[in-house]
Amino acid sequence: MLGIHFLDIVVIIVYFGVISLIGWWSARKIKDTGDFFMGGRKFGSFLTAMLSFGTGTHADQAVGVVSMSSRVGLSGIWYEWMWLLVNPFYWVMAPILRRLRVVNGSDYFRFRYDQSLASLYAFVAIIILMLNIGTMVLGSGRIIEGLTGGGINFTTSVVIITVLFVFYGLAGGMVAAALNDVVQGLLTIVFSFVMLPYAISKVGGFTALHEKVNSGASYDFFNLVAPEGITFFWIFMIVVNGMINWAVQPHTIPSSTANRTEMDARIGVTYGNFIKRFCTVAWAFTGVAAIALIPNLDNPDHAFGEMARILLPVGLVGLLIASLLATIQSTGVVLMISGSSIFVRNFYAVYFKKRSEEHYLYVGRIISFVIVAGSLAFAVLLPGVIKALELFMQIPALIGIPFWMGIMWRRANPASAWASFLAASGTFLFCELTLDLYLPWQMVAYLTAGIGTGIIVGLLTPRQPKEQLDRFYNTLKTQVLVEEHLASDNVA
Amino acid sequence: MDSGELRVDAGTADLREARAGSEWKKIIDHPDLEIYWPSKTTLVGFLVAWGIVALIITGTMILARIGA
Repeated sequence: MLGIHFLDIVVIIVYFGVISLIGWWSARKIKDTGDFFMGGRKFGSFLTAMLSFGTGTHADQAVGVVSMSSRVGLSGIWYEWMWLLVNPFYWVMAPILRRLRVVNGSDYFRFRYDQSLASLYAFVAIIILMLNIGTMVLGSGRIIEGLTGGGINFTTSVVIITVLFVFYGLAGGMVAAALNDVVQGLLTIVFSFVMLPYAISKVGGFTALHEKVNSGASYDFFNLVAPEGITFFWIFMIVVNGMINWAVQPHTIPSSTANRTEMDARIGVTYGNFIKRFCTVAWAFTGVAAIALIPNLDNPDHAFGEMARILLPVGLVGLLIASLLATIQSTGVVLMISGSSIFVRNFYAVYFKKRSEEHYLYVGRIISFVIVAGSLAFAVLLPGVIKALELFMQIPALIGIPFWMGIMWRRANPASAWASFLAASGTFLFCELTLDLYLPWQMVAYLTAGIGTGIIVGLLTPRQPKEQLDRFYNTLKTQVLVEEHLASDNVA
Repeated sequence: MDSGELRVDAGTADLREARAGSEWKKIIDHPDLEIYWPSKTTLVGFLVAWGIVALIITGTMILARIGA
């Protein structure tokens, strides 16, 4: 039935019964937008860690790493491990984000620059979120298609996935997402590793794996760095770009600021993301094993689903599908809520002031639907998971340049921020559309253009008022205490 | 939900005046640069995190050599 065993279907139904109960329980606790968007800012280290892990971990990443590793060997791991080398910087950056006392990136841009930059960020953030959710839906759809041997095709998978996370998110908000992350986070860890022993066993052990994978290969597929493609330069530039990129991803600030203290933010964000780096190792080895087990794979994006289908016993296939769907539920919810939060607080509330909390909550839910519609368009239009991941590495970095310039340099002002963004975006689009540049060189080009233009325009244009800058930098230097509340934040 | 103006209540403003100050030392002593030396907590946590990174990479390389 549907390409999977009856027992697998039972497992999926039971799993969703439990998850739905969590969503229903969470929905009862929502009283205002603070609860819906920020979980009342009461998250401790553990919940923050699971939120960071769950939000930052989704099926398209497993699909991407397995897909890339099945093509180039173990070095394909860097499509996710770029974040491994950025990870220690989370320890430094998380308290900075927490100290901003903002709800989202748009609030930051208003606080540091002005409303025009806040609006620009809101626009870019919604595009990033649509791309992010679209990639996630695309990757998960490919897994389910592969897992069921085409019994549930790509289009049907996409519809099921979307319906599930939209209704779950609209009902339960951020608290539901965080609690769901705890459950699915644990399952993701289990499933990242459970397939590997089956794969090694089926190949005939590690020695056989090396022989089969490297037979006829022009280089050692078990090296972490490849002689071409994923080189040291590639890794270096991906990491530099990742440091600029991370802070402005729309879910980053909400995840870093939904907790009580700076230490909760540090521990939660840093170690929540470390859990994922372990999972990435298993994904990469699974991809390498796919070279031996599925040598004639039609589409590398199917590698993860195909491997699961031929390796996992009845029951576990159902649990993997349920876990995947739950991953998308929780991650999709957080991304969707982040987008609607940005729109409501930074666009809508600017023009429609002093409405009731219920009104803003209602508008937020409508915007969530709009974001999902855009995401579905991306899922259909994107050529593949690898391309989507490459775009996701680059687009946030374009707005990340003025973000970090604002943190580190007093001369950065609205004019320089706009100039920096436009120069970086123009260079990115030119390289992407007209040149076939090696990815790291493309990053060098737009980062240089953005930073250089930002500095020149900053030096040539008037400074912002000293009072505004002092207020901003004093806030950054002021530790967050437990007794602070959302009411004293720098939000619109 | 108001928009436009920043909201900083009196309590938070006092807190900021009390906390912001002399413990912050700049890496480059320039009036326009706001890059500061990290605190002990930041430095220790940062180094520990790099230790974990090294362990993960080394562990993966060892795993990759099993059976080679």
